[in-house]
Amino acid sequence: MVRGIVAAVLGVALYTVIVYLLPSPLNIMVAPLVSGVIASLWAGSSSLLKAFLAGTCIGVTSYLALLIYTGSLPTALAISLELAGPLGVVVPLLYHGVATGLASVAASGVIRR
Amino acid sequence: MSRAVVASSILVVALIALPVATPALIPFLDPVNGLPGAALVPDRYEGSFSIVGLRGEARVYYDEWLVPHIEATSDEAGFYTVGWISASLRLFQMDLYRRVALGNLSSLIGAAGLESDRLSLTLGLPQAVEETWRMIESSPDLSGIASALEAYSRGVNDYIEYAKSNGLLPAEYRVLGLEPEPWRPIHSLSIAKLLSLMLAWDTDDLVLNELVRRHGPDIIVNLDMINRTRNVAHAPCSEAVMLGSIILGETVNATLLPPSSSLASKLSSIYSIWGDASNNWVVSPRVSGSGKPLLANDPHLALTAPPIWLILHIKTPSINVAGVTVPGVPFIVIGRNLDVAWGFTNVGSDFVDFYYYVWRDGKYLYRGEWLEPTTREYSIMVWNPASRGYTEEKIVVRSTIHGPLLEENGEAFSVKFTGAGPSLEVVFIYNLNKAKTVGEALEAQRYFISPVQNLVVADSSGNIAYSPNGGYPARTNLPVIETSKGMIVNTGFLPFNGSRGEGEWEGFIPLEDLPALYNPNLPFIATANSKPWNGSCGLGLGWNYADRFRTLRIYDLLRDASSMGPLSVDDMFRIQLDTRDYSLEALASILASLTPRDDETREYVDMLMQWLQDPSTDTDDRIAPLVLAWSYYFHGSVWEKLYGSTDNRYFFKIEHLEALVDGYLRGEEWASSYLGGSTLEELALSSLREALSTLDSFFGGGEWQYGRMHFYRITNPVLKTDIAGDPAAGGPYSVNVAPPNGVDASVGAPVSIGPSVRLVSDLSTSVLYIALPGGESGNPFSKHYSDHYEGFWLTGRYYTLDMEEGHGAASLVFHGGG
Repeated sequence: MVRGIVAAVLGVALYTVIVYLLPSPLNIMVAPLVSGVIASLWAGSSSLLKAFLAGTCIGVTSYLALLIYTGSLPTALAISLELAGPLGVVVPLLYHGVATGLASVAASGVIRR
Repeated sequence: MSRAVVASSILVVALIALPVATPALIPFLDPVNGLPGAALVPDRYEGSFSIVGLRGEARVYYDEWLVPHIEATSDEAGFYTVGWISASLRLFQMDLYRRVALGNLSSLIGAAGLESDRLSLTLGLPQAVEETWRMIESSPDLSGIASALEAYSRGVNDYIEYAKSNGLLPAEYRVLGLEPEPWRPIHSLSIAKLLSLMLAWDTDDLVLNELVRRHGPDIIVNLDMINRTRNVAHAPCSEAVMLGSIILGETVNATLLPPSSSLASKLSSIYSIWGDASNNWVVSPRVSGSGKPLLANDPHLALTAPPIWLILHIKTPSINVAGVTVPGVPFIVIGRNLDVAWGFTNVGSDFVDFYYYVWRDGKYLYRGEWLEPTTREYSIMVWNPASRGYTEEKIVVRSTIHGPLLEENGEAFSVKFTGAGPSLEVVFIYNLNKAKTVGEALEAQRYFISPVQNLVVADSSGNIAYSPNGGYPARTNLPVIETSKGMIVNTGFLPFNGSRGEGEWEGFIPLEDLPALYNPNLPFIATANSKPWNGSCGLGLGWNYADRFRTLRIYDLLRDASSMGPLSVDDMFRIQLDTRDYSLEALASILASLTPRDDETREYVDMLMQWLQDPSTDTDDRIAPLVLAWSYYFHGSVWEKLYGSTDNRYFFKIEHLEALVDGYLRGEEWASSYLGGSTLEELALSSLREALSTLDSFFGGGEWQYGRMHFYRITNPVLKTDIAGDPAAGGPYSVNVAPPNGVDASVGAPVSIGPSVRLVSDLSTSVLYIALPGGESGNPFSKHYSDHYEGFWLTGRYYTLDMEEGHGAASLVFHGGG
C-alpha cells in the first residue's frame, strides 16, 4: 500500500518535472518512459494488466495536473476542440496514458526477468 | 520475456516516436511548451531591464485593465518601450498584419494566405514600403520618425528574443510550429498598406462595367449611381473653404511623392471581409456643455480576437498622446493629446482605376505603339503546419505602362491604386500625435495619401474642422459615355481604354485645391461614409459612397439632443450606442408597398406595418428577425436579377434599389427590363417565403427573437475560438452598426463587423473614453483577452483614460546600460 502511494506520487512528480524541464519534444518522449518504470514498481510483478493501468493512471494524472498547474485547462480544451475536434482532447490523454502504461508493462517484464 | 512485454516494448517505442513522426501533434501533446503552455505567458512584466546603448529611461505603468501608460525621458526610450510592450501584448497579431501587406502571409498561416499574398505582391506593396523607408531614412526632416521606427523595432526584437529564450511565445506560434522573424521599420510602414487594402481597394469599377455590359450605360443614370441624389452629404459646400487657405507651405504629396505605382490582383475583393465603414462627429463649443469641442469616433472594422486596436498612453519629451494604435505602429492612430483630438471615417471615393487594351501577339497597343508587357516573378513559400515544411509557389506578374495586369478568364485589366505607391502616412500620424492646434493637424494631411479619410479634428482652443482629404488622383483625358439621357464623363467609375491613353493619372490633386470645413457656422459635423459634399465643391470625386442612413441618423440625434440643451459626453455615448436602423425601415416600407396582401402574406405585411410604428432592433424584438431576413433576401434577389449572381452584392446600395423601385412604380420600361422577366412583387413574395423558411428552420417553430439569430461572432483567426456569442441589437446601418455576415437557416445572422473601438473626447478635460471589443492581451489564456469587451463595449460602458492622472509604482523600467 505504502509502496504504491509512494510510487504513484513519485511517478507523477517525475513526469511533471521532466515535461516541465526538458525541451520539446524530448520531454514528452522521456517522461512516459521514466514514469512507466516507477509505475511498474507500484504494480510489482503481479500482473501486466495492473502495470498497464498503473502507468496509464500516472500518465493521465500528470498530463491533467500540468494543465491545471498552467491554468490552461478550459481554454486549451476549447481551442483543441475547435482546431481538431474531439480528437484534439482525446489524443493527448491517450498518448500520455497509453505510452506510460505500455512503458510500465515493458518495465515489468524486465523486472520479472 | 512474454510476448505481451515484447509487444508493449515495441508499441511504446512506436508511440513515443509519434511526436517526431507527426510534429503537428506536439502543440496538443506537450502541456508546457505546446498550446497550453501559453497560459504561462505573463500579462504584465515586472522588473528593471538594462538595455545596451539606450538613451534615457522609460517606465511602464499598467492599470487594472492592462492598459500600459508609458512615460519616458527620451523619445528613443519611449518608442523602444512602445515596441517592447506592443510585442508583449500582441506579437502574433503584429506578425500577421505585416505579412498581409508584404505578401508573405502564407509563410505563416499556410495556403489560406495565398490569395492575399498574390494580391499584395502583384500590387508591388513590398517595393512601395521599402521605397517609403528609403525616403524617410534619406530625409533630414524625417530623422525623428526614422529614429522612432528604429527604436520601436529594437524594442520588438528584444521582446522576441526574451520570449524565445524564456518559452513565452504566443499560442498561435505554438500551434503553427513557427517562431517570429525579426521586426524592421518597414514592417511598421507596411501597416499603412494593410489599411489601404482594407479601406481603399475595391473592384467596384469592374462590377459597374459588368452591369453596363448587361444592361447598357443608361443603368448608370437610371439607378443614380454617380450623382447619388438620395444620399445625405456630410457637409455643405456653402461652408467649405479651400484647404490652401488654412494651411501654409507646399503640398508634400504632390512634390515629394511620385504618382502612385501600380498593382493588380484577382477579381475578388478579398479585403471586404474587414469592413470599411465608420462614424465620427465633432461638436462645436457653441453647443457643448463644457464650452469646448466634443469629438466621437467609432471605426467599423472586423471584430476579431484580439481586436484590431491596442490602447496606449505614450508620454515622451515630444508627445503626450493617448488612444488606439494598430499593433505594429509606434504612434497613436486615433485618439487625442492634451490639445487636439481627432477621428477618422473612410472616404468611399474611387482610388482604383482599371485599364484595358487591344492585344496582338502578346503585345498591347498604347497610343499607336505595340508594347511588350514587363514581367516580374515572385516565389511564395507556403507553410504547411501539418508536415512542418514549406512548399514553393511561383507567380508571374505582367505589367503595362499603367501598372500590373490583373488577369482572369482570358481578360486582362491593368490597375492603378493610390495605396500601392510609396507614401508617408506614418508622418501624417506622427504629426497628428504632436499637433497643438487644428491647423497643425490639417497641415499634417499633406503627408497623407491612402486610405483617404474623413478627418474630424478639434482643439482645446475651441476650433473644429472637417477635411476629407488625401491622395485623390488627378485624372486626364477622360472619355465621354453616351446615354439616352445625355453624355456623362467617365471620371474613373468605369475601366478606361488604356490603348487610347484614357484616364491617365498625373500625380494627385494638390491638397490646397481641396475643400474643408474650418470653424463652420454648423453646430456639429458628422461623417459616416456618405458623400462628403452636397455640391460640386467636392470636384465630383467618388461615386459609390455608403448609403445615407447612418449620416442621417447621427445628424437627427445630434439635432434632437442639442434641442434639449448643451451636449455632453453622455450624449456622445448615447448616440454611439443607438441601434435604430433607418435602412431596415426603408426596406420594410418598400416590402410592405410591394407585397400583395392575400391569405398567405397578410399576417407578415401587417407585422411589417406594426414594426414600422416602433422600428426596434432590440435583442428581444419579435418582428425584427422577419424584417432583417426578408430585407436581406429581397436585396439579394433583386441584385441577382441585375448582376446575374449574388457575388459583389454589397456594391448594390439601398439607394440604387430605391431608384429601381421608384422607376418600376412609375412604370419605366428600363426598370422592368433590369428584372429579367420577373416583377418586384414576385421577388418580394419569393424573398418572404425564403425568409419564413429560414426563420422556421432556425427557431425550430419557437418564438422569434432578434438577439438569438443576430449575435456577435468575434473569432481568433488562427485558434478559431470565439469570445462572443452575445445577442446583438442594431442592424446593417444603425449607428451602433451590426451588419450580419449573411442570413442562414443553420447559423442565423452572426455579426463579425462592428464598432472596432468607440472613442469620445471632451477637449475641456484630459480624459479619453474608450470601448474596445476585446482586451489588451492577445493571449486567449489571459483574463485580459476579453475583459474590455465584457466590461465596457458590450455593456455600453467606457474605459476612462485620464492623461494627467498620476500612477503608482512602475511595473517595468527600461534604462540604458553598458
